[in-house]
Amino acid sequence: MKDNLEQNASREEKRRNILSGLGIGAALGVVLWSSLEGLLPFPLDLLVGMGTGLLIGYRLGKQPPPMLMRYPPGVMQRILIALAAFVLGLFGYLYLLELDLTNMQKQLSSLFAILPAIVFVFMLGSAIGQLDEMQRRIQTEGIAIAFAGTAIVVGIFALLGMAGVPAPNWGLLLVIMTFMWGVGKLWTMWRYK
Amino acid sequence: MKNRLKVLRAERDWSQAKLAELLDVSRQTVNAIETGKYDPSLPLAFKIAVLFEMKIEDVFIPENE
Repeated sequence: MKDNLEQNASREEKRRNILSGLGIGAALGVVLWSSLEGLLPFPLDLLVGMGTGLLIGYRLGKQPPPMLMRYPPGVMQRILIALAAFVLGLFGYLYLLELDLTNMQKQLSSLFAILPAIVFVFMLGSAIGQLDEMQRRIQTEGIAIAFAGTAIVVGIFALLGMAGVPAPNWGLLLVIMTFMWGVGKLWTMWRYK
Repeated sequence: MKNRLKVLRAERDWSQAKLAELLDVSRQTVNAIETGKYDPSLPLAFKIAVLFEMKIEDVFIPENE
């Protein structure tokens, strides 16, 4: 018989999950919207992106995957705000690049665009610091895996560069690092499951 | 390392969520400790022992014993 003491998440926990899920879904919606741009007429692309993001967020929030990292609600809120500022800063920067600016102005705007990214990284670090010891270990091991994986990818790019292959956009490394962090975290979570 | 966490918790009719709240950790951490997938740090192990009003060696048992 299933141990009836291993109860499901409480109502309060479920409510927090749904709210967090909706927030994550909205952020995902913005990303989807940007990737769908050009495929669908405006504002259908925005609606499809936000709608899909909200649905995924709601579903994840209502029934989160086992051992999903859940930050305290206040911390999650700060992360989402910082993430939104980061995404907006990025889009703002891309918009500025298309304007008729001098090189100096473009370089300055690129430096300003990185400020929300620094805040976002700081928020993530702060959030990890507030996790309990096992969750911190999972995050740390995930970051270690991402670091090693990214180092290998950089090495591959460097070797290919010597063979005459053009250097990639360095922004791609951020995507690779984030992806590997996710994979590393999932793998570590699976080990403790 | 083995432990008697699940039995002790059941004796008190506590849920994993309740125990997690008392220990100020996540429910997932309590579950991982109970299933032996994760060995807690010494401070957390002491916290568990104090919570159950037991000696630490009565809650956690080395694998070879």
